[in-house]
Amino acid sequence: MTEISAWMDRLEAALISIDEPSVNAIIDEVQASMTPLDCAENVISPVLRRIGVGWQEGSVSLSQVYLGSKMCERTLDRLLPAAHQNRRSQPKMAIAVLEDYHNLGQKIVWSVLRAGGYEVTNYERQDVPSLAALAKRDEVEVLLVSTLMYRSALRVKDLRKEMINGSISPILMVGGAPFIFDRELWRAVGANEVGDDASAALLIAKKYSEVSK
Amino acid sequence: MSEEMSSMDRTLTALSHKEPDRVPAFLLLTMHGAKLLDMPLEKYLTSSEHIIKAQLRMRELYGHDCLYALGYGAVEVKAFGGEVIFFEDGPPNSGRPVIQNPEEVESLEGPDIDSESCLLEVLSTIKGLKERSNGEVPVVGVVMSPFSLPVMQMGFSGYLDLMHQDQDRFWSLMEINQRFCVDWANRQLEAGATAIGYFDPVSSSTIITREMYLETGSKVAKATLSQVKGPTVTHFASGRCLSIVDDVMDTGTLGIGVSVLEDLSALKKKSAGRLSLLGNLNGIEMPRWGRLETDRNVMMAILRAGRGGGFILSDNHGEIPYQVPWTVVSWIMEAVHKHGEYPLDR
Repeated sequence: MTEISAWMDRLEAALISIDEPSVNAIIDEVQASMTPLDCAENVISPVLRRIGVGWQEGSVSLSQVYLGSKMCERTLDRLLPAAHQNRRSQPKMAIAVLEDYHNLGQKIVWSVLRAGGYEVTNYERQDVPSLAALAKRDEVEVLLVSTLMYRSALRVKDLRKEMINGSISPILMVGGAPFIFDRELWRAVGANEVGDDASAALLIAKKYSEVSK
Repeated sequence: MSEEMSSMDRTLTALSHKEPDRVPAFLLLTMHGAKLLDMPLEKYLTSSEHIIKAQLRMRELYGHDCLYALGYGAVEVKAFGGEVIFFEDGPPNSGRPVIQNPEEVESLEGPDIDSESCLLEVLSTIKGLKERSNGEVPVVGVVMSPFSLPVMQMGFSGYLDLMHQDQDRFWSLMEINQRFCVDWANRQLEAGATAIGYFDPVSSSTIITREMYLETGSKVAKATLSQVKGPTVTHFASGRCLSIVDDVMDTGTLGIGVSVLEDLSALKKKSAGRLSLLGNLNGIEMPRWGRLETDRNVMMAILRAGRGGGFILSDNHGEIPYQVPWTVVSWIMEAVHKHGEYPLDR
C-alpha cells in the first residue's frame, strides 16, 4: 500500500511537471509488480482523479490536465493496446461534443478514460439527431456529452427527448463549463450524471461497470 | 442630494479608485439587440447599423453605464481567413481552424484591417456609438489577446501542444498576432472607443500555471498593451486570476474582469487602489434568477468589491447569454440603484 502511495505521489509530480520520460519510467516500474489493468485502476486513475480535483480547486491548470491525461493515455496504449482482451469489461460507452466547435474537454475525458483502461467510442462533434442515431445504432449504455457553450448545454434536453423518441435511454453524463457555473443545469436538461472535471468520468465509468457486471 | 453623474464620469471616477455617485454597471449585452429588433442573430451581429440602434435603445431602457461595441469575438479569426458559424440562440463559434498544422504558422499573415469588411463594420459601430452618445457614455471596444486568439486560429488542443512543444513557432505566432492586436486596438480607439477590453482567457490560472503565464501570456500582454494608445481592461472570460493579480498589474492594464468562481472579497483585497475589478455576476445562472436572487447577487457583489471605488458591476464572462430574460436585466439595474449608491455604508 505504501509502495502504491509512493508511486502515486511520484506519478502525480511527473504529470504536473509535464515530464513524460519520468511518467514512462514510473509506470514501467509499477508494471513490474502488477498487470497493466491493475496499474490503470490502482495507480493511474486515482492520480488523474487527484489532478482533476486539483483543477476544480484551482491548484492545477487545464493545460496540465490535458497534457497529463494524454501522457497517461499514450503509456497505457503502449502497455495495453486498444481493444485488447485484457481491457476492462464495461458497459458500452461513447463520448461526443454536442454542437460546439471547441472539443478540448471531450479530448481530455477521452484520454482520461482510456488511460484508466476503458474503451470508449469517440463520436467527435455531433448534433442532436446524429448523436441520438449513433447511440441507438451502437446500443450505447453510457453516453458522455461535453459542451462548452451554454446554448449547447441546453441542447442536451433535446438530445434526451430525441433518444426517448428513438426508444433508447442510455445513462447520460454531461460535463463542461456551463455545468460548473450552474450546479442545477444538469438536472434541468435531463442528465443522469454530471462531472465537474474530466476525471469524474472515471468514477462514473467504474460505477456503471460494477452495475453491469 | 448630489447631482447625478454621467456614465462616463461615474466610470472614470470608479476606475481612478474613488467613489462616484453609485457603482457603475456594465450590461455586456451582445446578442439581446437581435431580440429587441426582432431579427436573426447573424443579421444583427454583422450590421453596425443594427448594433448601434439596439445598444442605444437598450441603454435608454435600462440605464446602464456603457455601450458595448462587441458583436462577436470570432470576428478576428474571420479576418484571418477562418470560418465563423452562426447560431440562432448563442454566440457564433469559430469553425474549422485556419491553422491546420503548426507548419502553417510560418506562412500566416495578419489581416489588413482596411480590407476586411467584418472589421470595418466594427469600426463603424464604434464611430456611430461615439457620435450618438456625445461622449457621455463609455464605448467599450474589444480585442482578443494575441495569446488567446490561437484557440480560435488552431483549436484549443493544437494550441496547447504548440505552446508546450514548439516554442519557435509559438513565438512566431505571437509576433503575428501581436502586430494585428496592437493595430486593431488602436484603430478602435481612433474610431472612438473609450477603452479596450483585452480578452485573455488562456492567461487565466484555469488554463495555464502562473509559471507558464510569466513565461508567455504576461510577456505578450506587456509587449502588446504598452503599444495600445488608450486604457485597457484585461478580461479572463470566467477564468480564475486571483493567484496572478500582481503579475497582471505589471502588464499595464487598468482593471480585470473576474470570475464568480473566485472570492470577490479576496480579489478586492489584493487589488484595492491598484487595479479595478469588473464582474462577477454568474451569467449562466442568470436565466433562472428570480427578483430576490438577482437583488441578493448584485448586493453581495457590490458589498464585496464596491467600497472605495475601483469596481464596475458586470457579468463574469464579458457577455450576457442570449437566454437571460429582459426581466432579469431590468432587476439587475433595479438592484444596482438600490444597493450601489455611495456611500455604501450609509
